[in-house]
Amino acid sequence: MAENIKQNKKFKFYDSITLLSPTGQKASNLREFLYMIEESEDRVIFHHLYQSPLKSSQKIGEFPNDFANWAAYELEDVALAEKLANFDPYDSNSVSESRDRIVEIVEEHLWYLPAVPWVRPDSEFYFSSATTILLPLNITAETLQEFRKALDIIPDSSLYYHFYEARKRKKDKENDDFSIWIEDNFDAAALIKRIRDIDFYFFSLTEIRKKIVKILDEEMRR
Amino acid sequence: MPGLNDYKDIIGEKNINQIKSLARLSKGKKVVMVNSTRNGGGVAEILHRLVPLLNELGIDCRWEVIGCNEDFFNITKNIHNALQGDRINFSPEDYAEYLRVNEENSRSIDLDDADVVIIHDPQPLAIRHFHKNSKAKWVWRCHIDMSRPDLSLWKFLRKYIIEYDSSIFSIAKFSKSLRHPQYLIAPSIDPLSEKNRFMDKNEIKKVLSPFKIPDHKPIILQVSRFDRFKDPVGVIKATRLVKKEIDCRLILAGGTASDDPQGKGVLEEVTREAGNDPDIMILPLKPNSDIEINALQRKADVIIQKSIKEGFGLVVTEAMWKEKAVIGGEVGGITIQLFNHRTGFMVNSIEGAAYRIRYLINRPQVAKKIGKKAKLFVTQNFLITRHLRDYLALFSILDNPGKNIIYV
Repeated sequence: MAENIKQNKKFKFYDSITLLSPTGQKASNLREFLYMIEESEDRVIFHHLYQSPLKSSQKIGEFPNDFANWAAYELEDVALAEKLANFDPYDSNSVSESRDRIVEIVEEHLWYLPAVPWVRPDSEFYFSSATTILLPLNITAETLQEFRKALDIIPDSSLYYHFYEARKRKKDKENDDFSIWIEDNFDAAALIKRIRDIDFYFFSLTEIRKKIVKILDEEMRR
Repeated sequence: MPGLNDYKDIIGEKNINQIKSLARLSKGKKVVMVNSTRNGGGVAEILHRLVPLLNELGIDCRWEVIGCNEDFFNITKNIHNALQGDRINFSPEDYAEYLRVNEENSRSIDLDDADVVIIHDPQPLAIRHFHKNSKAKWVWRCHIDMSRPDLSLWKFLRKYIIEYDSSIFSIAKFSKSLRHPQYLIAPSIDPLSEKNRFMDKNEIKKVLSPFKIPDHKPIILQVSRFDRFKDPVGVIKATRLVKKEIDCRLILAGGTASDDPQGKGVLEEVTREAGNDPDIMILPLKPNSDIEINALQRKADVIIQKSIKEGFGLVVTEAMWKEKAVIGGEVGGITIQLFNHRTGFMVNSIEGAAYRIRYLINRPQVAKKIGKKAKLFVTQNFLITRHLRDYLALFSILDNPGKNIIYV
């Protein structure tokens, strides 16, 4: 694929470094969990629903958000975990809307249970938020070749900021920072489509990096 | 001593650059770390590496150790145990002595010019109380399992904790309902230290030769201080169950820390339990036996850490770094390191420990596969470089209280 340049705007890479901040609140059973989700600040809900890809130091769960992983591994309620995992927060227009949807899922599930399920001591859900430091990396790209090279050297947290957090920032599930920049600067419809088609919510940052790199390598060879 | 660039081959250039960018935001900041011992235990080990690395990055960081007597250490060891859940009655005299030593240290340690003071663990906690007019940001860094502390002690200590600007815990379940912000920073190991650096077979053999460890049986190893919370007696009992089926040898290797006066008594209990069994070797290690611990961990067939309470369990991290499938008690920080069948195994009983020991001895290929995943997991999460990054992030966050996102 020849680089058909439309504009000549540089892509500036940013890094988002987070430090987790527990609220000190914990839920020992599903009713407490429901109540605390209803009462939690947006930044707590945001952290548990959207920032899971950043947290490999926590439980390695197979589900894409903290709520679903807790339901699966601590509450041992796989049906609830499946429902929570299948909920895609990027479909919501706001964190508050995501909270409402989670509350609805848990409430409906709880309604039909014969008793409120509890977890063992130490397996409670611990509510947290995260503080983010957003700083510019000394990395820019003007061409697709430079952009491709940058993908080898940016940290995972930068990838998260541009490919995940961007959708929340822009309130647009389909548009990450990368594909928007490519769209604004190059005639590369096939490349943009393939990047936007990635079902990103279900992948780790390592997998996402590999996928984007593979797509870029293939499209640039054409 | 290795510098930051020496970690490039382990964590990659992108993570080195991230640390350097973050450090620029706090260049010249004066940071003081305060704890209770220079040698022995995970906190001292971390500070030995973290402080020089922070200085290399332009942070003016120094490390102070409080001066104290044996009575104080007896009281603070009891405080440590009670915070981890033991029911202990403290007398008013105990509390008075605890505060007296803290007040004395608040005068002898110069903290006047500090921008940030980080107080580690409960021993020097009350120093903050005696610096009421300090302009520094004060952070209490708790390394121990505080999930179920003794209530009366907690009420006493909470008064001093809430005087801080923020607290740091190793994992979420240790956090408490407090009025100030709390942060999570997991501890770490240094992959380039004597305890964790690569050793080849010849070097391992040479280092271990003075211990005269017979070679013809699978070796089960627990490395830990002689402390009841590490359950060394439980490990002996588990090994006896294994020995009904598989001929094997247990090595209990442990050092002592200068702030732990109860270690001797526990060592006597363990020696009594071992009796004259030639397959149970108790190796009391001297301080600075890092290379010996490294060699023992690399030599062992199965590594266990059967703790019943655990702050984090860095010894588990060390073994995982050496590609070992570790068996650990399902407590404290071990629960964020070991995931069954993936990065190791967690157990809740002597029988469970025995079962997993047999499982791993009988399936060396599975153990190898788990060991590889364990090393990768440690590389991503529990190395000193990640710890360094978290502290640097904390310094920037302390400068911007109340902000959710800090734009640089």
